[in-house]
Amino acid sequence: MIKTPFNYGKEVFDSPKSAVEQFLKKSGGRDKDFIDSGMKIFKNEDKLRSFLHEFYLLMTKQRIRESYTPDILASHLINSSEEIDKIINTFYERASEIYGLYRPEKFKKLDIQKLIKNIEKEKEGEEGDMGFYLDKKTLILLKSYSKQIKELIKLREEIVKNIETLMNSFAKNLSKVLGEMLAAKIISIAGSLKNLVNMPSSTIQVLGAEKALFRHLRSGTKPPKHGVIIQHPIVAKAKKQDKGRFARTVASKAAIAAKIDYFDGEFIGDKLLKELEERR
Amino acid sequence: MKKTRVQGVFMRGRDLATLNLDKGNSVYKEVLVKDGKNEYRMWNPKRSKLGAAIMKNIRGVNIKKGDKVLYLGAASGTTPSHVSDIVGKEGYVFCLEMSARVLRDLVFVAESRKNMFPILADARSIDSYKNMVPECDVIYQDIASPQQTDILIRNCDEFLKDGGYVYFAVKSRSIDVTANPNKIFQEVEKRLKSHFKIIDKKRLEPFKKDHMFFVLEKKRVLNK
Ligand SMILES: C[S@@+](CC[C@H](N)C(=O)[O-])C[C@H]1O[C@@H](n2cnc3c(N)ncnc32)[C@H](O)[C@@H]1O
Repeated sequence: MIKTPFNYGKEVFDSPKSAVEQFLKKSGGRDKDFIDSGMKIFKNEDKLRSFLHEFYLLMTKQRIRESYTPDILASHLINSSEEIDKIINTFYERASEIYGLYRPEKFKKLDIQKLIKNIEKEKEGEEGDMGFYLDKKTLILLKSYSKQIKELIKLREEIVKNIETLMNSFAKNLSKVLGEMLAAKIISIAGSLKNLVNMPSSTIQVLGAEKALFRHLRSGTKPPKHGVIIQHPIVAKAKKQDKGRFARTVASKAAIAAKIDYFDGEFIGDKLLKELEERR
Repeated sequence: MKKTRVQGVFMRGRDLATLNLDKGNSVYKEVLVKDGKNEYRMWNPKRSKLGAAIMKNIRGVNIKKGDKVLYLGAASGTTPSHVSDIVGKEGYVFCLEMSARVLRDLVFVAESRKNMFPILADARSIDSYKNMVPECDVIYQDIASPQQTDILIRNCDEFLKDGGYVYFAVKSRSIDVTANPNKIFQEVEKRLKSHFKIIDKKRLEPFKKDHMFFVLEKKRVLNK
């Protein structure tokens, strides 16, 4: 439990009860219930109430601030990066459909980077046998699309850099074993690093497959063999029949790594990763 | 605006309301209604299990002006704000909540409601807030936790006066996702019976699915 000393005037207290008791000591008595006790000091219930109200608010605000941990930001960032991926993809698909109306011959081969480059070089006019005449207004619109997509890609890169630094600041072992992005994702699904530490590795193995897990519990379908851990290169590259087994190994190393990180242990990420690669 | 059987709770047509203690402000975008010189806050039973229980005519809702209430699982303050209206400015609502994120929203509600006292703590560790909660007339609990019945009993032992009332919302899925809700409610009730007199209970459909709401009275300890 966090102990927040609370300043009231020149005095420092750690609870309303101790505050009231200290006031009370000065006035000579003692009581079980601090509201009754408080009445003896403040005489007037409105004054007591104002004191207590201010006290609880300040104490709670301080506790809220103290409850901040870096995994909260890490979770927001990893989810944000996934959302931005989706947005980029949606924009890209729509912009290339529009572009294809005017430049159908080029449209087919364009990945996202090429689409941006092409649109940037594009000029008003007609091209090829199928395309409409590209007018000035639509050209400006297409250029805006490509600018936005570029900005979003830049934002995503910044977020990824932040995730990497942040993750290595408080979960360096887990980051080494899973990679920063997957480590952040696992923490976000677990809710916090603390929650992750309290999970058996069999649960970590299926984090992100909650739907399939509940379906299994409810109606006896096959249990899921892996959740987001399938993104780990070792699991992703494994043959189908090995995926479940590899997911289990990765999860068990992740569980160890998370515990060391949570309890401020030293860095043994390299060793864990090596063991993981040898075991498969 | 008409009075109802329940103290401090009003009705306009078929909708519930409480007298707004914090004039001019609404808490969760509920509608404010003027009637004479009074202002009321409409109370949405889909957003509040106490509101739903009252809509279903549960017996024994009896929170009085000036009561001290310990509210476990206060979240961002939706139902606590109506309880705050009911106990009025002489009352106390100790709003305990474990999630800093939702309590952050409640802090703003409590700033302008002088009878709401927020506490960031886990209802499972009574020691961490023992010094911040006095003996109470009422305990309200709405926490989605598998051990919610246990948590309630321990808090009532510690903070509720003899003969005090308990309002307890149980969500079957937070105890066991797969089991039959009726079975879960039966088991919960069995445990409650050894500590409380059961005044009434109601399922909260159609407002909330798979929820049971209990009104309980703490057994008086005789020969004390
Ligand atoms: C359904 S919400 C309560 C909504 C609120 N009663 C209302 O009607 O406005 C349940 C809340 O209980 C909180 N909670 C769950 N377990 C808790 C615990 N052990 N201690 C304190 N709060 C807890 C959750 O963080 C969540 O905000």
